[in-house]
Amino acid sequence: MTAALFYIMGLAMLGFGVAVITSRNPVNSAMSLVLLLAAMSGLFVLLGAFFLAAVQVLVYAGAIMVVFLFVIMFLGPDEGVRRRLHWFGAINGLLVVVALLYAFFTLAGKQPPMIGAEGRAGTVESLGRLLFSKYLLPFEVASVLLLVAIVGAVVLARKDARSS
Amino acid sequence: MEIHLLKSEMAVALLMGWLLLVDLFMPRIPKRYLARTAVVFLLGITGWLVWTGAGVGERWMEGVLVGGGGMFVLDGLALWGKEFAFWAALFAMVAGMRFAGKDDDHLVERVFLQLAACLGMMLLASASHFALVFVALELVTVVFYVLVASRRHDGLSVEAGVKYLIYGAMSSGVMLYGMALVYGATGSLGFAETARVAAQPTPPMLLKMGLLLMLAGLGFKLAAAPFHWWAPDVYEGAPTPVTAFLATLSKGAGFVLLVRMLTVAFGGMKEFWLPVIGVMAGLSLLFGSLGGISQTSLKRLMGYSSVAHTGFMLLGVAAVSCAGLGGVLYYLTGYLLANALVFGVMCETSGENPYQEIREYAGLGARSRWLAGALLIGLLSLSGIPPLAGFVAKLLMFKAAWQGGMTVLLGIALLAAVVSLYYYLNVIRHMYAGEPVLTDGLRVPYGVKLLQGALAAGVVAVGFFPGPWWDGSLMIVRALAGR
Amino acid sequence: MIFAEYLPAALQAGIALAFVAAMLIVPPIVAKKGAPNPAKDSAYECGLPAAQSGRPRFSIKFYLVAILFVLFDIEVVFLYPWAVVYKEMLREGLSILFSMLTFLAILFLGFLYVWKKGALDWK
Repeated sequence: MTAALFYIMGLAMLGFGVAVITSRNPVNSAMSLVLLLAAMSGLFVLLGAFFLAAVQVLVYAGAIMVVFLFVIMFLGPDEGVRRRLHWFGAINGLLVVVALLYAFFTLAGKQPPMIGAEGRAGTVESLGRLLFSKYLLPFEVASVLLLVAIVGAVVLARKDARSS
Repeated sequence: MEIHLLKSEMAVALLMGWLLLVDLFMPRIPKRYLARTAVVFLLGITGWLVWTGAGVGERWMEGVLVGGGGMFVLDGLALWGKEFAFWAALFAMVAGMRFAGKDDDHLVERVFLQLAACLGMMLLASASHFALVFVALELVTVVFYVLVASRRHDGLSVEAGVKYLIYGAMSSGVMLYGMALVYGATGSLGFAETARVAAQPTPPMLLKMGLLLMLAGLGFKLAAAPFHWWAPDVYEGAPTPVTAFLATLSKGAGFVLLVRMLTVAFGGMKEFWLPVIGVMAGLSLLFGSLGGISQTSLKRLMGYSSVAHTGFMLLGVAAVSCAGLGGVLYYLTGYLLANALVFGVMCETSGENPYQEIREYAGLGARSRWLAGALLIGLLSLSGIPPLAGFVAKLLMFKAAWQGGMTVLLGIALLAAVVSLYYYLNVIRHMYAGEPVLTDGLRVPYGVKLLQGALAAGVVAVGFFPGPWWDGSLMIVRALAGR
Repeated sequence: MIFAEYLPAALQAGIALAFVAAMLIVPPIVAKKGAPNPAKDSAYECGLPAAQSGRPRFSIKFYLVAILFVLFDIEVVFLYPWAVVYKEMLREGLSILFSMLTFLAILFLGFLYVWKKGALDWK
């Protein structure tokens, strides 16, 4: 069952990924990316990383894609000019493919050299417990970071604060 | 969570909140007064920290106060970093107010953001866990994204902001990936646990890769070659007080983190990171000194100068000795004072010379003896003329490199010192001997004179009597290495 | 891993997919569709030909809204694990309550700022 779901999600990701780069309408590309991210969150669920799956949908498929779409709509959603394949890009792409294949064949079946966290690390409960006990300080600092980002966004984007 | 350890951080955070609330709900209060009040408050917090820090200095030097599950450390280096952050932020706030002019909409917001960057560096100075390191570093960086682009109608400022944002986001990503690899190798993000794995006879490959990626990300924040390409453009495009803040606070934050990370977390992997730091130091020295020769804008020149100074400080890090690391702290002290002097003068002349062309500094010696003198002392200290602070600092670096047996690097550093001497002296030549473009006198308020006088006195005092500063730096580093 | 607990989610996803598929497939079969010709596709007698694309550019005003949405969305991400462990951790003390209250208070300051500065006004 897990394997079947993995292949379904994986194939869906591949299909949407190809759609992202081949679609001539940028809005369609962005929509394909949303579906790709949704399928990826399915993979996270299969791996037991439930929080990551939720964040993937909430932040990436939700918020980040809104910004993507905004930029596309702002620049004008006209169909892009079909560009010729550039040899530099093609060579780089090939290199990446070779590197990935190499990594795949040398690493397949091996245990990754990682020390993972013990227990049900990906669950929301364990994450919440850690976040509100050990990681309390970075958590509070994160709120200051968000506050600074909010003020910064208003400072940079708002026309003139006083004339309103 | 041991809240009493976070007193100074909470004071700054409360000041930030107070500032924002007063600005929102009492719009009648002129923004200038509000900003000045914030400066006074921050000065008070600084004084309080220096006072209490000096009182219990020995205790903090020996024992370490740890809080937040081992994430937050209060020791000599942390205290030093916090004080550095205070002085850098104070100076940047004053410079920003001088620069802003009367009808400035975002003055309070800018002070708020500067306080936030200060808070970020304060946390960074105490962070001994990569999660806190990342959040604190982002706090500093996000502030700079906004500040650099804050002159929205100036194309150069926006261009600088976009460049800084793209390079910065990239480097944050690289650094975060490095942290993930460290976690993969050690199963923890804490410095102590990392040190345990790093001390093994053959540290895992993953840990090495993680450290490399983190050094690359940190190299960006420090403007260390080969990650320095953004520096001249961003230094030139950013508003002058922001450039001053960028040159002092982000450099200080980067070095405090680098010193703590390399000695505490990766102390066992010296053989691995030593050549990396050495190469970065050599490249920074070369690019920073040679790149500055042909510059016509003083701000851009300061960008290259900051790259070169990063190189000198990395020399001390590469020496892996208490003398080298203590020298870095001493160097930063002198660097902060001299930069404050140079950028202070630049803020005063920015109205008539927005792009800080060096040739428009011609005749400054006749127009305002005071400003010219301040610029002279600042530039001489940066170039390392005895007996100013910059001279002693460079001497300490050379000595540490010599004792570390790094002859090649020492040669490059000597060359860089000579080359950079040329471009600093070129500015001074223009100032006193150049054909003047403008001849009218420059009026400098007494407050500015007082501040510049104090800074100049500081540069001279730190150079003439290096004893106390040097001893303090050495004590901090010894305590750090002894743990 | 037990998949039974995901059955409702799978069911909902299946229904949603089937519904959309039906919307796309059924109408062309049910509806009568004549052969298209240029006269049929052109604007009606008194209408005007379209002056521009049907999808105009967005206003830059949306930018601030989009960014603020992202920022407050991230706040919600932090609320999710908090809500999950809240009841359990409340037994160990009130710190779980106050830590989130502090977080929200700091972000509420941001909300106040956005509001008072009129960044949400649509002029």
